[in-house]
Amino acid sequence: MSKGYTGKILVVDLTSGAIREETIPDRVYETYLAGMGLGAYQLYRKIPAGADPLGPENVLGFVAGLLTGTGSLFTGRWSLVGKSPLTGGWGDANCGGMLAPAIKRCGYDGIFFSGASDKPVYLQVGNGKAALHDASDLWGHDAVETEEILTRRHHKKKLPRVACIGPAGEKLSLISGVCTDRGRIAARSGLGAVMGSKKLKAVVLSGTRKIEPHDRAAVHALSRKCNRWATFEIPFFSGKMMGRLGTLMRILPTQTAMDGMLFKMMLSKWGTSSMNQMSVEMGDAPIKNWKGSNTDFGPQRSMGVNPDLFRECEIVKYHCYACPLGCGGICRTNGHYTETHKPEYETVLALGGLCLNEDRDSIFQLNETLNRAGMDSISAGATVAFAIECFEKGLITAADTGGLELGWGHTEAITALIEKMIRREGIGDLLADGTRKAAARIGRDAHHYAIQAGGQELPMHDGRGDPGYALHYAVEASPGKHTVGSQLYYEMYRLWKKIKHLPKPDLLYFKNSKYTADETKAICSATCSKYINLLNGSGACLFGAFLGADRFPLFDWLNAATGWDKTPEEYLAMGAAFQTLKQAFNIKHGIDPRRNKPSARALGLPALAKGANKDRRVDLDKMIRDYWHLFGWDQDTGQPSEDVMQYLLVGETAN
Amino acid sequence: MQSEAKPFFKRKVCMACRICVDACPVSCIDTASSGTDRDPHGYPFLADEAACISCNQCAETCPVEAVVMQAAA
Ligand code: SF4
Ligand code: SF4
Ligand code: SF4
Repeated sequence: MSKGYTGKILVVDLTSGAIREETIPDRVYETYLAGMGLGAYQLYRKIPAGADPLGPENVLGFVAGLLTGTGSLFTGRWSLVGKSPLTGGWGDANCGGMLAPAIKRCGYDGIFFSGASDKPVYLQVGNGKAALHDASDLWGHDAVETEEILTRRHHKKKLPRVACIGPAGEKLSLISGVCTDRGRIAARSGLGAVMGSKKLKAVVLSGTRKIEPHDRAAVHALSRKCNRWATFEIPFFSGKMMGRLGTLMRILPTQTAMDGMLFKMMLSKWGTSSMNQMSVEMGDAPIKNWKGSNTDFGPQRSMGVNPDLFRECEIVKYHCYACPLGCGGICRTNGHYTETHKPEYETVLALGGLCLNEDRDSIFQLNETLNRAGMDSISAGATVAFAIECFEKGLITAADTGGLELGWGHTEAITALIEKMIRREGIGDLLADGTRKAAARIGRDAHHYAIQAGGQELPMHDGRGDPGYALHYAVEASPGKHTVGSQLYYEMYRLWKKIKHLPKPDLLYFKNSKYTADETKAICSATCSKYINLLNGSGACLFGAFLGADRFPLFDWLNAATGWDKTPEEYLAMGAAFQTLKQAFNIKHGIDPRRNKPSARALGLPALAKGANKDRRVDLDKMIRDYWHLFGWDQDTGQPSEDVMQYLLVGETAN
Repeated sequence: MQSEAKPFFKRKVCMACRICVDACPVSCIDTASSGTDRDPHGYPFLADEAACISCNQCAETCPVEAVVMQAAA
């Protein structure tokens, strides 16, 4: 019976060159779904404790979600999983484009690589046929060039889909990722370096197998309903007005529970860059390496990155596979590169407000430069901001930087520094592995200026404005990620519409109440973690989920695609099992969950003296204990119990 | 469906989601992008009619019934 998944994975040993198929039992899908959940199941069992993330024992997986290809919407996101060289623990990165269905059309739910090749290779897969090819001629090429060459080389009838590393991954930068579709990037966790360490340049997929859901008509009926919400529009205000809305949200002592439909409309008009100014104004965007505020990057200064200025460069909208919304765009730009994907909010703020850089054109160019190099723009921007502050404090000087006068808003120096990081040249070599490594190399008190959690640079959402982010930065197995939960996300997920016992946020509340660490907040955060695990197991986009669970029928799609008859509560329990397995992965690999808290500055220590987050302090300790307790983990250590592990491994013995 | 039927895309219904692009076994559907005859939404079109094998995959997988198979003119 068709269930939407293929039931098979491809396993490639790059040391011996052996390639084989493996059948995955149904019970694994019924415990973890596919996608990242299947990835966690494989990696927990296959990577030995203490394995070097850049050694042959690490396993790197490209996984597609259970719902991908079934006719459901917003479900074209694939994931990359492996042990992270950046954090030393569980690593994942999520990406869109067209790769997710291409994995399944080759007949697999995932492709897993172990071992390491002694010369550059790439993997080519067709309908159940796979081969490794020499990639010596591709080594050194950027991600867009590599994709062009391989697409041309392997285009027979079916246009192949390619994922590859650029020079950053080849040079083992710990903040490198894997690119597809000319610059979509699975950026976080440093997994590009894992691919580089295995000398694996690319995967090329051109299968044409059908992906069969259990009941396609039922899936389609749900999709048509969802599409009505996804395409609902009202005439909208201008980009500048988004900034003013943010100012208003800052000034008011109260805020209203957010309905994701508003965000959806902003996304379809401008993409994530709709938030560029608004986030600064309302205290969501960290400024000046987290020590500044909206007063340093006020409306006049941030006008250079207002959403309309990004939209005016867009020549065509960009949709990931199966997405009715299309928050992406292909843009015409001024400068060396004439075309690029529209920079995401994260990129704009990391290269903009975090470094006080308001030069839009430089952000377009750096976006393309980083995508081609395969380097994470969040971590790259955060590392530049760190370097500027180290320069300001005299911890590094022009003698170290090769003459670059680093400073806030020095666009040319920022650009030159990132180019050095990509080439690992001079100071760039010191910085190419992110802030934690760089701080250790610089020594003295440089670590105070490395704003990260568990080694991963924090993204552009300030936990001092929404403590839910800060909690997830600390408790997730892959720390320092904004794509899991926050108080705002909980409001937008609207899961109480499907699961009656979940707390429903008040429509209007005082902002001060966000900082009280009560049990309800822990329940909301734990629910976010469980739900995002289901999204990642399904291959679903966070922005689809923002429509709200009553408009984005994840549970019904899953039942229609698989033929299961599970309740939303049962699905959330699967999300909890997946969370526990990732936590157990970290414990197995020696990560102490207590040590993943974000840097003090990001928690308001010391508190900011002005701006949107003035005097805000986030006390995480109680929230972390409550959160761990809700998963049944030890409240003091964050460790899952042995009994739980037996259940998680669905009958297999723990390694 | 006739054996030579080719897909026709109803723009009013289409979501530009690229499900049909992926489903086509011979990649003869493309979306407007830079360098082609463009529309700002990136809707699909039959870019290589001669390559189309009239397999109906595009129509079958489109969730919103935006693909109609029609006899080629
Ligand atoms: S909403 Fe944006 S990121 Fe999400 S699937 Fe659609 S295009 Fe991709
Ligand atoms: S699958 Fe249907 S809705 Fe999606 S792009 Fe093709 S024709 Fe349009
Ligand atoms: S009928 Fe088949 S070959 Fe022709 S465009 Fe549709 S999917 Fe492609």
